[in-house]
Amino acid sequence: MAAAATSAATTIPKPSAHLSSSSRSSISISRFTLPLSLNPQKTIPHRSLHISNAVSKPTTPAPSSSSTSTTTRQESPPRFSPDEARKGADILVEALERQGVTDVFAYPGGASMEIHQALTRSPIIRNVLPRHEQGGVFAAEGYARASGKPGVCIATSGPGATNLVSGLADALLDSVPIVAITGQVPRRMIGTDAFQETPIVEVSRSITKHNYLVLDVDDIPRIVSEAFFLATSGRPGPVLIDVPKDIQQQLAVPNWNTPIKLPGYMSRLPKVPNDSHLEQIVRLIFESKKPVLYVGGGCLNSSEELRKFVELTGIPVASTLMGLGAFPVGHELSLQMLGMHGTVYANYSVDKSDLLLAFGVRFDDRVTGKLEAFASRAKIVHIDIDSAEIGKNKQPHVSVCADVNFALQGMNKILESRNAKSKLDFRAWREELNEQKSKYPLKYKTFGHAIPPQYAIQVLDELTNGNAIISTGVGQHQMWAAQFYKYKRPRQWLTSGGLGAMGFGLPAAVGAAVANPGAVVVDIDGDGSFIMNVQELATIRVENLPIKIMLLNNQHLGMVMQWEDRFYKANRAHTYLGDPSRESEIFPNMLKFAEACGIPAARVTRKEDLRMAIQNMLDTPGPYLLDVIVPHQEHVLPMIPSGGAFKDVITEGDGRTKY
Amino acid sequence: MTNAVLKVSASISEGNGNAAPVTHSVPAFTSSKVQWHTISVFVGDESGIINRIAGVFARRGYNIESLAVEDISKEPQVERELMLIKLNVDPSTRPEIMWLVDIFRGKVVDTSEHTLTIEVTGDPGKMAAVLRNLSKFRIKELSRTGKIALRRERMGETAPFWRFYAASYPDLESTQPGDVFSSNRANNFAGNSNGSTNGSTISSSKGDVYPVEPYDDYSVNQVLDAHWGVLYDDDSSGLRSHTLSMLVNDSPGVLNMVTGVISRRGYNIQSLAVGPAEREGLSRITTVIPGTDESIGKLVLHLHKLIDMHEVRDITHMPFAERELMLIKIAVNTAARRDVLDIASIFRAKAVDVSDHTITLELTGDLNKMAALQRLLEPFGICEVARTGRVALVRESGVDSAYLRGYPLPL
Repeated sequence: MAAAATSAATTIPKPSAHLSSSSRSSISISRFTLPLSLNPQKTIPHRSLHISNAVSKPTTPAPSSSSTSTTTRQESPPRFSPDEARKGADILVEALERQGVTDVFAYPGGASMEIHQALTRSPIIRNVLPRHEQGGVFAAEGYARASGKPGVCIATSGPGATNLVSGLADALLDSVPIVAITGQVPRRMIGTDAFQETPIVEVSRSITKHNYLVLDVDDIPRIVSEAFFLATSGRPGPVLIDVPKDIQQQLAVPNWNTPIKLPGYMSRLPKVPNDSHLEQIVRLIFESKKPVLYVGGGCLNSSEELRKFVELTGIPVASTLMGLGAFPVGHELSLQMLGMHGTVYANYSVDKSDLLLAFGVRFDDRVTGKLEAFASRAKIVHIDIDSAEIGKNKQPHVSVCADVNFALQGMNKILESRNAKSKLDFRAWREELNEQKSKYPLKYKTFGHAIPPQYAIQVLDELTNGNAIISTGVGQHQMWAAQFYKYKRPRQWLTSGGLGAMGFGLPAAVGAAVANPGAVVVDIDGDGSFIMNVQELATIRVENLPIKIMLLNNQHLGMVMQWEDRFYKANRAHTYLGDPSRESEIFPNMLKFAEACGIPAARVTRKEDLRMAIQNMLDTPGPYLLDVIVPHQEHVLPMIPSGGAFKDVITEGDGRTKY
Repeated sequence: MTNAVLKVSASISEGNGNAAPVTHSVPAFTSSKVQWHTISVFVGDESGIINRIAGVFARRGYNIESLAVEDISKEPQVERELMLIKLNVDPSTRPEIMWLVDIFRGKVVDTSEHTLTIEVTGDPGKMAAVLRNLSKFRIKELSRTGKIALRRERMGETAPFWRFYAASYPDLESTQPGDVFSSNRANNFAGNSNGSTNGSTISSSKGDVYPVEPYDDYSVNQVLDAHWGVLYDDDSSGLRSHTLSMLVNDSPGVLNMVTGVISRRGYNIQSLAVGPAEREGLSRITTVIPGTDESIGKLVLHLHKLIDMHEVRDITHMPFAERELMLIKIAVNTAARRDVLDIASIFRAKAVDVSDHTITLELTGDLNKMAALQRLLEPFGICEVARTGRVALVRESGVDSAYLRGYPLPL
């Protein structure tokens, strides 16, 4: 829609892929060799930063990098001599290169054309053109979630910028590092309600970690390095940079040595955890009989340490939706997900525990239900990088504001020195939980030939051997994907948790596939969520990304329908997404969407055919859409209604019964 | 339902201050015409209103005049600002400082061995002069309110003022503000009872996507009270007014960012004062927010997350010197002027403007003093009141008379 601004809307866009993909293989390494003089850590030598969830300082120079780097440098001579004046947009793009950016998700428009022009001059950065700015920002999120590196998306002013809003809010709630760049009308027109003007800095203020309006071309190097530093350090989050068009066009000589200026923020970054606090936690573990770990998205960068901690202590692990994969779901000590749609045994363990070790979590209402009843018998230990989360909802007995990774390292050291492995014995507690596991396993029923959606995910898990990167939309299919796929490692599970943004799955899969070429990426989607960003099928085709879409199509807005069944006497209030005049047919015909974009697709309706169809989907090279027709009566179970406690858990029933 | 009208000139003059950097950075367009405009805005008493106003200023950059309800910068006016300065002193410099304080008609509000806290009021020019003269003694902390202004009255006009006829003074019996509040209460009550009837019809959906609470429990606490809703002592719930002192980057939109956090998290601002701090490029925001110790503690943590924030301190539980500046215009004819001036002298208020039908007084002090003076002058008819927010600095002497109450004095 941003293209409407420019008269160029009708011209056929240059296929950007060939330029970038050809040079891409050599480039992915070359970024390590760039003079990273802006590495923020260097500017403040007096304190060591413990950037946590932060990412990927280019730490792993491949052994071959020295040889390749010389060649790449020869291939791409610097576009400008150091003291040559260049456009602000070129400075911006070079600043991105210096941050190690190799892929951006950018949709052009009147106020961001300059940036796109500069992008075509970059030999390093490849643009994946989304078909909607929301797709771009979700793809950047998928990229960041799957790789741990900050994702970058670019949009134009006005509608382009406002289309980023959902993605920014999502990234803030799920602490995903992304940098969003928006064009803005020229400075002199700001505040005049100019064409395609929105005050995006104002709009996004409360849904970004920080944002910038660039008012001086000389600030670009500093602002970009600050933005990347802010996005990735401490508790990660989205940062927005708004660049007026006249600044993009202004000629300047960049000074790459401007230091970042974040004194207040720097002084508040969490320090190394205090050993005495960690000692105290270890003492609590030794005193406890029924400890349980409650791990979340904060643990995604510390799965090694977490594993070691669990091995040393033998404490069972319950994971939040965001934390899935931080600890392997298939492990015998894993209790899988807790919370509203968590397993009975995970919630049982928290309810009965006498020590709750909450690492990298925020006591979200989807997890706790009724706050007073949550872990009411337990002492609570809370470790989080964000001091504002500690005590926000639930008062901990011991709290440490630090990077979970450092805290776990410290505790592992203490546990080893105390020979914890032989001294700690939680066998009775594990027995008790195993009993619950066998009593209340995750289960579903089969009716005739109909395909239970849970079964489809189970089959996918088997056929991919639990190794695929899974993205989802929001709703019933999301919860089933969280329950029935056995995630082995972190960053394998991409979902919109805090915000619950429908339409997240397909673009996030785009980002994940761009970040992980060669990996199996499956978008488990619902029919409602899929159609919200269905336009990204075009992106997938054009970029030839090997994304498999497994659509659990029940013709309904399933999660809302489930609430209607339970609490509104099954009165359907606009939750039927098919064509009411022809209920017997599947509407819309998703296969036609795929066909329009040249993506192979198939539909499966019988349980017997499902395994074959999924195998076929995985075997087909490139993208594929599998439309799995599932009954709409299925409910996500177990379920604790909101504001409820463990005793309110519902384990039976579906849309076939009346309530 | 509109509540008592209050005037927030303090935040407005900060708006001017905020706009300045923007205009600096784009000198090509505007430098020839840049002028500081003083704008006073009357706003309804609702949660988040200050944030909305700050948002308007930040969003529009330097383009603010168009938004003014009434632009009085072209009229003759009385401008005043209040400043609290904490200075480093030692015995050798003390006499000179005292001499300067005397010259500028400042007042010493707190003294300790090595520091001296001074209160100065005046127009912007005087403030600049004070700072220039005191800067050589190393200013330790500085808290400014930002400027407030009232229009000077011309001779021979009549003063329109709220609810009173200019010709006759009302008698003392009927206190008007009380009426306003009682009617508000009634409205609130009606609103609540409406809510609960709604609640009962859909109470079957208890435990929905979000937990449903009975509507009666959710009472809106009208704490943003232009009058004297300040809570000095804990009431039973632990609710009291907390004074927060923050140091922030002096960058465009920073006020909006701070007030945004406050309103977004459901807090209310009772008072807000913004002004340049002791160091170049920093501003000090002093704000008063009602809440419990616990809830304010959480707010402080959230404020800490702001990138432009340097420091937040809740100084409620420390001894601190607190001052506020009020300009008040009273409708008096020549006959009654003497009475007003008598009251003014008791409060050590200064007359800054006089005409045949009004008199404008300037008063500094803490909140109770403001309240007392305003109550006493109410019968004469108050045309306009402009108050800065409160500014506060921690007392280095460590003594606050409030803390001494309840202790027997040694004889």
